[in-house]
Amino acid sequence: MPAYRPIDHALTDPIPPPATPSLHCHWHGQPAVCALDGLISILDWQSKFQQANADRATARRVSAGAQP
Amino acid sequence: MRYVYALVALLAVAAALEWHGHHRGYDDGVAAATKAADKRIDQADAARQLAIAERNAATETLDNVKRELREQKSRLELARTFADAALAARAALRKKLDAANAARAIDLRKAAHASPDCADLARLPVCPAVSERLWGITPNPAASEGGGGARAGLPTH
Repeated sequence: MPAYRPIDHALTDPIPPPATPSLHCHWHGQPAVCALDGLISILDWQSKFQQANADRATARRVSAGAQP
Repeated sequence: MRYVYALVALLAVAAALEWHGHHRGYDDGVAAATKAADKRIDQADAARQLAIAERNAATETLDNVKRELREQKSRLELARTFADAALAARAALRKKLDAANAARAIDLRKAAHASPDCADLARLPVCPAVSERLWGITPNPAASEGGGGARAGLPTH
């Protein structure tokens, strides 16, 4: 099926990265990221990853045309 | 007197022959003119039939083209409807994903703070070498200001 409209910008705009973890711990008196917070930030990246995959699935459905 | 009769008879025969010739000529002329006229009529008729047939063929072709364009338009409309539905589904799915991930984050934090095995992790700072390369955060005791340079995530391009 030929392209009938340009793909929606919501599916092609870059996904903003999650925020950097906050500094709750101290390293030699300076604020530093806690190891636990660093590990928990993996959750944020996982959710961005799921968003990207969901957008890919949507893009495939948008461009596939009418499906029975 | 007999010469006169003979002459009259001859004249009569001549007149009869003349009349017959003219009659035949007239009939032949009429027939030839009619034949020529018929031929022209047949030609005009054939040309007219041809024009009618061509016009019908052109009309049919135009109708076919119109029908195909209508079908293509309806197919595109249908595809557009599906695309709009897919985009709407994406919005709903995004909300669901965000809610699920927020719940996961809350659950993880609660479990981590509740479990004494994770207490060391909660106190442990990430070393500057790793922290700088992951998040651009550099806790440097030699720095004059207190925050270190915190960059925003990954380089964008």
